[in-house]
Amino acid sequence: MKKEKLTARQTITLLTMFFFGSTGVLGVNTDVGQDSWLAFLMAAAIAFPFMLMYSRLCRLYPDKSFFELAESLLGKVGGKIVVALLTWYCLHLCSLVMRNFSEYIQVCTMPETPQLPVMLFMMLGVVYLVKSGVETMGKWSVLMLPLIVAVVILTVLFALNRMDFSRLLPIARHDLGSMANSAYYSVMFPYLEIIVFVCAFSGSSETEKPYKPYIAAFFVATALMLTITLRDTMILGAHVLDALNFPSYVAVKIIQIGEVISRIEGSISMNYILSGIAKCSVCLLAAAKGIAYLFGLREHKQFLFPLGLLVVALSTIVFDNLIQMFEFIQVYNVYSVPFSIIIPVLIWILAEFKHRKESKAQTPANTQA
Amino acid sequence: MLITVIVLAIYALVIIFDYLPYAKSWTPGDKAVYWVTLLIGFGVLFLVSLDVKLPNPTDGITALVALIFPNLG
Amino acid sequence: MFGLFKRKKSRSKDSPGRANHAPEDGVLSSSLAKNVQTMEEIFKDVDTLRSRYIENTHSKELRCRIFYFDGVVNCELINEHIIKPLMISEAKPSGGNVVINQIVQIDESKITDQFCDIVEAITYGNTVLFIEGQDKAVLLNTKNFSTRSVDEPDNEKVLLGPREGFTESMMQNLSLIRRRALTPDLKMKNKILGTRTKTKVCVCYMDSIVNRKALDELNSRLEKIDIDAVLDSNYISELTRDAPWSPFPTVGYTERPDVVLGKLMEGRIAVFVDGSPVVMTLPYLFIENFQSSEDYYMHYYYASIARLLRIVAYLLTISVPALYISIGAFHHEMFPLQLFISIATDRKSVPLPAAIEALVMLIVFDILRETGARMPSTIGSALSIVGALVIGQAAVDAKLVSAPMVIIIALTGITSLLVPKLNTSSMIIRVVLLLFSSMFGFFGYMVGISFFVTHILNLRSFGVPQIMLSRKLKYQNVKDSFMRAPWWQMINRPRFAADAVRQKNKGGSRD
Repeated sequence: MKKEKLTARQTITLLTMFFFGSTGVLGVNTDVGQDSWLAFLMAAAIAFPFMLMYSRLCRLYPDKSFFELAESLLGKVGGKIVVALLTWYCLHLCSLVMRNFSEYIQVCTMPETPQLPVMLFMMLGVVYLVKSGVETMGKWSVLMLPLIVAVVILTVLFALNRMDFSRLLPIARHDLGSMANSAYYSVMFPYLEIIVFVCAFSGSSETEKPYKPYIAAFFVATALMLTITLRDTMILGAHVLDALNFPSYVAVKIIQIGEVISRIEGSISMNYILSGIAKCSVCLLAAAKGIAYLFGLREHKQFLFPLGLLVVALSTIVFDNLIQMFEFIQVYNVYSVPFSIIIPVLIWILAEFKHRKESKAQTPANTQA
Repeated sequence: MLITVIVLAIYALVIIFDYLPYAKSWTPGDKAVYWVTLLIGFGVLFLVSLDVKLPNPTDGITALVALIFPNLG
Repeated sequence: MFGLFKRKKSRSKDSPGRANHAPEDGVLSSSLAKNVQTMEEIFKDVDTLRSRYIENTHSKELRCRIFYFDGVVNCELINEHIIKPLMISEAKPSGGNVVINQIVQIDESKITDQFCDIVEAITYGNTVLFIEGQDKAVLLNTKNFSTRSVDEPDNEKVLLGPREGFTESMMQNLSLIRRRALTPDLKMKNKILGTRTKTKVCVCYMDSIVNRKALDELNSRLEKIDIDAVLDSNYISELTRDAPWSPFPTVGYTERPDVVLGKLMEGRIAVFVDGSPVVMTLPYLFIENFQSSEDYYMHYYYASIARLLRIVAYLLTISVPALYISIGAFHHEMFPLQLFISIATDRKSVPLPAAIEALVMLIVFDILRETGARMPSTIGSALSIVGALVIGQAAVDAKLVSAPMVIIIALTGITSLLVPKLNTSSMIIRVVLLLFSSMFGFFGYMVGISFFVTHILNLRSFGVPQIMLSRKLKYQNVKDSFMRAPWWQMINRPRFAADAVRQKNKGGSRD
């Protein structure tokens, strides 16, 4: 079967939508009030080396998927354990994202609709997207990302008469410790979730130089989320921002131009569903590939439907209510460390050693010949 | 009640349109994985739609994390 | 469930409907009487078959009989150039070859000894000549059937540009194409499809620029067709489809020779079917749904704006009812205040919920449209007055439907007429998006859009994906899609054609 590949541009757009995923609705961490955009920039700076690390991993072994690499470095048993852990992480993340979005929809726009049909419906779109294959996912993201970017820019333009630069002042009032704490939240969620993307798409990206797409996506996503944070802060102000669960929704509510354009939050926020679908589909793809790898199946597309429904089931039981969802973020910071930091760094270090050994093994042979 | 019916309908549709046309060309391993994921998901969704309280993985994770960092959770 | 959208595996079944005439499979015999008897057996109840016995005045051995069908032959040819030379010729008869070469004065002649060839030839308008003592028969071309005149097709009218259209005779259609491309590079390969009708089908392409993969794919799919009648190119397209359950077209249809030639020049393949003026072109890209041949004969600004307008119209026709329902039912705070008050007062007095009302109005509009397509033109004006003014106005006054809904549905209907090729798909997508929006509001609409975008991105046409998003946003890749660049900029062909260069230098007198 022809191996499906993502082009560089598709990688950029899909990865950007993946990063943007649930941050569009939940917003970045706002513990530090008006400095949340600074904390976010700090987070971006901290996460940047990880992007380089992942690009380097892709460059070292472009043909191997992450799972195969884990198995070749850690042996059969170790590899299977790592793959199982990563698969659980991807499944859990998919259900968390689904739950984020369905809570958002219920709280903000449709309080009377039960969440389960909403989640089932969204899963329908996600599964169809994943079943259509990697190329279609790439092309879909190329078509959908401009829509999201246009909506964000539009809301900024419309909100210009409500934004007040003084709400950003005083800058850097908070001490470094609390800023670092807030930055840590943003590093773990969304940046370091790139491990999921790598699991899903390693071995199927077309470029030999993966630096450019990964870094370009990183910058575009950072710019998008920074824009949203700045907009929200300038419209709402520090205290309101901190108190709200879904700050970007309320910020867009305030937009008003003349008599006609007012209360447009219903339509604007729905665009974020598209990025949610993208994120869920990447997670689902990674989980499906993991399961196929664990059980030695050739194809991952067959059981996508039951897997999707399993994710919906998981997302119904994973939180009792909205408050638990927001409290879980603190736990998530610690819980995701083994999956998104320890395992990838370990794999990378072992891969570097192996690569060095291999190139040393090659050069004596070359000098002899 | 309505949600239970929706869950049953969705699973019936999945089995009719996604399993029966293609099952002939699958290996037993494919079918096993398919049925296991299907049944787990179905069990959970069915029980949730009947308002049965199921164990929460978040509690487990919070407990694990609380072992290392007692001040969180 | 999504397997529905994939291509079905072809099932093997018995070859349908071969008329089991044993004599048709037979071979000729040397005896004239026996051949005549076999012919009468084959065409037992066919009274339009005529025959004529001819004897040569000079040599007694040359005895022949001709058979032909009345109405499809040119009688003057038969009289002057077959019967007369056979009667008065002085050549020595020693075989069909001598008859063709020296006696009979017909342009296209063939010798055969199979009765199935004879049947096929004689039903198409040829004359068959049986000679005593020969076990081969001679087929002579005397076709003369009546065809429609070359007229502009009704549904592909242009303001400026050629006005010829195809007719039902494949020979005439091929001649319209041949006249426009005076090169032997234009290949035309004949095929026979349909086990009972034995319809002639012709596959045309320009040899040096065609997409080879698509051509091979087409030939292999045509081989697999096993149906008893092929009456129109749509039969072929449905039997060879990539995505049998998708509402979107995967091949293009046209009735104009200039359109066909333009597509041939881009590396596509055209399929002509005898008996139908509609020609199939493939591979088909999604953007062709929005193109019209008029674009190339008018100024490029106008063409670009018209294309963008068509794309916007398609988006409107599938989205407007869904958006109205989702805003009206879920997000009613989005309406400006004045509009909101007027819509609310109108909606309050209508008994049906908004989604049902929209569905009913869509059905009524489709009924009106179908009626308008089929009815005789004499009652056309009366029906438009009745339908539009009386029923519409009366329904609104009787509070059966609300006035905004009438506007919405009218907008939907009018925009759907702008993109006729996507009519099927827009009817289905409109209703599906309406259902999704009525259940989940904007969220349903967005998921529905995502669903359909995924479906469109999955479409392939004979191996070529219908939407090819280029790697870089190069001008080359968009200059004939949603806009039309002037001809002096169209240097290269679309990417899937074999020979990329269309113009050697940046054409015209611009340097």
